[in-house]
Amino acid sequence: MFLTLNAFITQTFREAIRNKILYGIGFFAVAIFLFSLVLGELSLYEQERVIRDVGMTFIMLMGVGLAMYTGIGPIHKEIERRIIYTILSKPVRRYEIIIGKFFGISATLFVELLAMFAVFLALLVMRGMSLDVTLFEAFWLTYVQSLVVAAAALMFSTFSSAMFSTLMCAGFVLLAALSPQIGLYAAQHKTLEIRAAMRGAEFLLPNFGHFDVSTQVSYALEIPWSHVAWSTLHGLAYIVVLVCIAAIVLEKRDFV
Amino acid sequence: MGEPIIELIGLSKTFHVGFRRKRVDAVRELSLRVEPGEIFGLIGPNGAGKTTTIKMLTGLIRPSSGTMRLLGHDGFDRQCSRKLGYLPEISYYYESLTASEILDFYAKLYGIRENRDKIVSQWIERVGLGHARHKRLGQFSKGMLQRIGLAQALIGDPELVILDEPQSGLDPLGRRDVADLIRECQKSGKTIFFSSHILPDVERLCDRVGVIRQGRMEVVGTLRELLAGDRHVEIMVRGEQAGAFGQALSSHKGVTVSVRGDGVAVSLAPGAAQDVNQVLQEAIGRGLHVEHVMERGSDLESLFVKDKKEPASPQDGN
Repeated sequence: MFLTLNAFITQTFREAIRNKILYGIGFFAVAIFLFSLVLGELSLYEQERVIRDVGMTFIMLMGVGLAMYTGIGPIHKEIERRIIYTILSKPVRRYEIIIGKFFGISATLFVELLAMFAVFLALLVMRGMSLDVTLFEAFWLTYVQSLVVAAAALMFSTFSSAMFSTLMCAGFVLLAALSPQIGLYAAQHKTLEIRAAMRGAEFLLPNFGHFDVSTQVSYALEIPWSHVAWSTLHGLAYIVVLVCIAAIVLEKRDFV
Repeated sequence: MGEPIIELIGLSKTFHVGFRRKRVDAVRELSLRVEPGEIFGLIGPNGAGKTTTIKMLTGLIRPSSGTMRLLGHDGFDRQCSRKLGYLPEISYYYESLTASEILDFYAKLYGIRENRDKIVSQWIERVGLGHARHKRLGQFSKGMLQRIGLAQALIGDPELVILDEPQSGLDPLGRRDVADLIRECQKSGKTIFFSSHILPDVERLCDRVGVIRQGRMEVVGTLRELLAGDRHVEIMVRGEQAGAFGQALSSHKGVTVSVRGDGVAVSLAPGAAQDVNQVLQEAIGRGLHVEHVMERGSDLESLFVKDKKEPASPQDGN
């Protein structure tokens, strides 16, 4: 099993990291960070806050975008290009494909986000700004959030085309981002049925509010470790469920 | 006879396609035995059910009904996939991986731990891609991809090799290499099951052939059995009296005469009223020059394009 997982992790990582589109995204990231410096210069007395805010928000947005892109690609490409025919005829369990791919995607996302974070930290240091634990905690939560998005993208790609997977994944991200508002709305609504439906949606969807620490990052406020741990567990629970659904869907599929 | 490598009994696959779930019977009541060590060729027109049959054998789709025994196992499972190598009809692979990386990937899927680098290297050389081992597959030609496809099918040293159109996209040299590889596989005890549109290659390679049409196995047998019905002896003679000679013979049962330039070709079907010796004696007696005497038979192509209403072989099903 470990050799099979190793095969899928290595292959997925190599494929993703050699994708030329990522180099374009890298240049774009550097440009955005430089733009945050310009914004910082324009805002009197708020330079550090603006640079930190824009930088980390950008990393978060890139995390979501990259997670969708790298999450949909591996399975969709294998099915569309029929590479999966050669894989399923080998002594491989279908769930091993999903797990291996997910770990490969996770490794890719980690390297990509870490590279962006390193550039961001370098810019802060060059500007003589201090680094604190909050930045690292925010980076970790951004990474966990991107893993949840990647797991959803992987799951959608097991049964739909790239375009539908992207649309469904975008919808998932939007609803997950609105999850705190859904909870508030549910608490305030008078109709029992709507309240129950809202609570159900709140329960089914991950709450991306747990990963949103932009205020703490902007003002260099402390993020309790318990919050980081709880949010990580929250993300992991959804990842496990989404990966399991993806494995079940792949298990049931015929490849006509 | 021992246990067959492939045994299909009444295997069927039905799809329901489109919004109205229209029923399509891709494979119907297909029965077949493939014995250990043989090269079996599956031929048939497009949409006949060849690829669907192969997909059932390789676990890509599940049969709707019928029984399938593969390598001593009931149906396709993980145990039998260890002993199976498969090359799909259209081979695409990960474009950003190199030839050695892709074979290393497939070797890992087969669970090869020891000497993996050496095995990968050997297979790259064996399929003639030694010069391109560090080249990414995105830069490969169709023929080179087909060679990688063959290598990934064979790298696990399988007992049964299933090849779907293995020679498509290859130049004559490549086709010869693939044919050599298939023969080599047979020599090392492997069983080969392959489908092809390149009928001369099927004729050259296969021990037995099955013709599938509209999802049904029409005929199965050795080439000799399948083509026996159309075998005949042709005697070509030339000379002044050739016309009269031909005319005299044409009234006999099983004898066909055709004029070719200043000579005639006499064709004797099996069981014809005149045998070869009689015809030759008659020709020599008339002072005719015998140009050639040869056994002719129809080829696989004529069997392939034969009207489906016409029974083509002595053995139906199997």
